[in-house]
Amino acid sequence: MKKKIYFILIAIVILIQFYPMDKPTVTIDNPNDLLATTTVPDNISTLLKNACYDCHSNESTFPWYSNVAPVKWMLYDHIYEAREELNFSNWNSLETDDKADLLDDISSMVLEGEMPLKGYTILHSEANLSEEDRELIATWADEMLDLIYE
Amino acid sequence: MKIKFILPLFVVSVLFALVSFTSSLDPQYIDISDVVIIDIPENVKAIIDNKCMECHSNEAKNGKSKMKMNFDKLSNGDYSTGKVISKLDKIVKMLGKDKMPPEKFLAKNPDKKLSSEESKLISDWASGQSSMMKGE
Ligand code: HEC
Repeated sequence: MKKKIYFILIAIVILIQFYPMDKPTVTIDNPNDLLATTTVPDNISTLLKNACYDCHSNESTFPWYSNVAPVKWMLYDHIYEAREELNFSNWNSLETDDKADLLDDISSMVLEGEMPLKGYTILHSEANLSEEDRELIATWADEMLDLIYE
Repeated sequence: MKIKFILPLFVVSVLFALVSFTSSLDPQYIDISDVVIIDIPENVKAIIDNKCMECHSNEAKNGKSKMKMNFDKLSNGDYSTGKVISKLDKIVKMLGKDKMPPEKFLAKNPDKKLSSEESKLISDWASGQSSMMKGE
């Protein structure tokens, strides 16, 4: 009986691997990237790279488990959606008002603990931001926002 | 006659000189260039007070809504210039998409729904204020 359940479970896991889903494309060379076009303090760029770039840039990395369903389904979906809303790789091609809008969102969402997305930090401990990290990112975003309309 | 005319003139100029001298020394002088006080007309304020402040004010319970948009901070000069502009633009955006107040909230508080006139009043005020601040 127990054997049968294991067998069925394994069969399901193998079967779902065949469910097709396009992997988000990865581009490393992004001329409009935030960090390539704007002066960002080193500590902030490290924080953004560690905690945001997997979803909010074209430079997503895919460790082995990220290509295994069902993790894959969730992650790919998140990446597509996240890039749609905010893609640091296209930063410099955005309109001023859109940059301002996003900087304001970054500040409040990071402070409020909404970003990085919850489940993500379970497997990515480097994205687990401390209170201090969150303050740093928010302060940086607020300052950038003020420079925009100076 | 002439002296009568010159004397008050003299007194006035000495007074002027004194005033400008003391005000330049005044230690209470505050540089308000960084403080943004925005003007909310009474009719707009009345709508915001009635339909938005429950979630977007200092008195609101802590949470996303208060963190993202706080009308008390907006009118007290607690947001920097860039922040004020981005908040104003967000007001226009959210109202344009009919996203505020949120449906969930309206289900319980149907009287808080914005009429299209009210929505337009707030939107027009916010976009006007924002373009003025951007120097458009
Ligand atoms: C696991 C993927 C993931 C990570 C990591 C992540 N985000 Fe997100 N982010 C999303 C998704 C998905 C959305 C869109 C859905 C939503 O708003 O919840 C989003 C939305 C946002 C938005 C809202 C954009 C808008 O226009 O509404 C901001 C701002 C944002 N993220 C900032 C960040 C920042 C800053 C970090 C790093 C500290 C980060 N995110 C890390 C997935 C992620």
